[in-house]
Amino acid sequence: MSSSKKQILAVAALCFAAAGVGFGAYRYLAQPHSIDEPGGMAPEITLNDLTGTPRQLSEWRGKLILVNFWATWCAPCLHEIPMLMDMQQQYGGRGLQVVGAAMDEVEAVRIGAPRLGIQYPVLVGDSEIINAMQALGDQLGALPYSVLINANGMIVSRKHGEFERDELIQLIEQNLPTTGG
Amino acid sequence: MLAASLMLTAACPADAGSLLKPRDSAPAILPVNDAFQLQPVLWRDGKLDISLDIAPGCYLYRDKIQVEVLEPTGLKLGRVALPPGELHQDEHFGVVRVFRQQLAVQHRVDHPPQRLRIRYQGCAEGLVCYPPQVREVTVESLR
Repeated sequence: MSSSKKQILAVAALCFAAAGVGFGAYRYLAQPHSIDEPGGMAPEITLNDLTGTPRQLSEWRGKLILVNFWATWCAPCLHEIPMLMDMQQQYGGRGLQVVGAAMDEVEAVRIGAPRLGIQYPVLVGDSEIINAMQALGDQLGALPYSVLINANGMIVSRKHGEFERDELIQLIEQNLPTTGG
Repeated sequence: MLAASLMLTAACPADAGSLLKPRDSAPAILPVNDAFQLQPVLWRDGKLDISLDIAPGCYLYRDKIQVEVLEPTGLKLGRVALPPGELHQDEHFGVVRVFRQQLAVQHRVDHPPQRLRIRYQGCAEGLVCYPPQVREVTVESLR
């Protein structure tokens, strides 16, 4: 092979490698935005409820669990909560369990949750909530963050920001346990 | 050549972005450190410069911004005067004052603080809110 051909091949290989590195780097940087993909088995999460009693997510195993991370200082979270209450009312009998996880001071949630009319279980914490969010796939540290865990303990959806009603209904319908929990 | 290839790759981020957008083309939510970028804090000629760059579509709550001296202990900053910001109608919290694009504070203090604790909190408009942020920073003193 002539030296000029070798040079061309070497340059082409370098270009290809560089493009691959660039594409890989971009994918890595873009990854936090691809948060709506499912993600394996949900780890065990233990958080205190409003009475200070430790509660484990596995307590609701067998149901479709919608863990909604929120806070009293988060306007989009407060906007979304009435819809989540509707979903609990509409689908609770068919095996949906909404669980609120508040990144907040206990007293603020003790006052805020009844004021919002939340009927589903509410857990609360500070760094514990951040750890729980990260364990459930959060990479942004932003609220609201919701994780849908099916009856077998598999994470089937994760989302930052509010659900659209139709979007959430579709997700719930697709993942309800067949026996109704 | 390698450098040139890398430059070529980096020269078309918009095209790459269009290919790699989430399929539902939902608005991208930034990590908190990209939404609010605290710039190096400087002390120069008796003035402390604190600056936060705020990404488009994001805002910081004016009443959540706090600055306190960690070192040297005993140094008092006094009340840090913030710009007025702009009014923001919040569905749940009423009318609040917020900062968009940039928050730049110049505060007169005769002796340079060495370390500061800076707190701030904000949201991405209509999408998400970020938890209160606490940063402990070393002040760069330019005499």
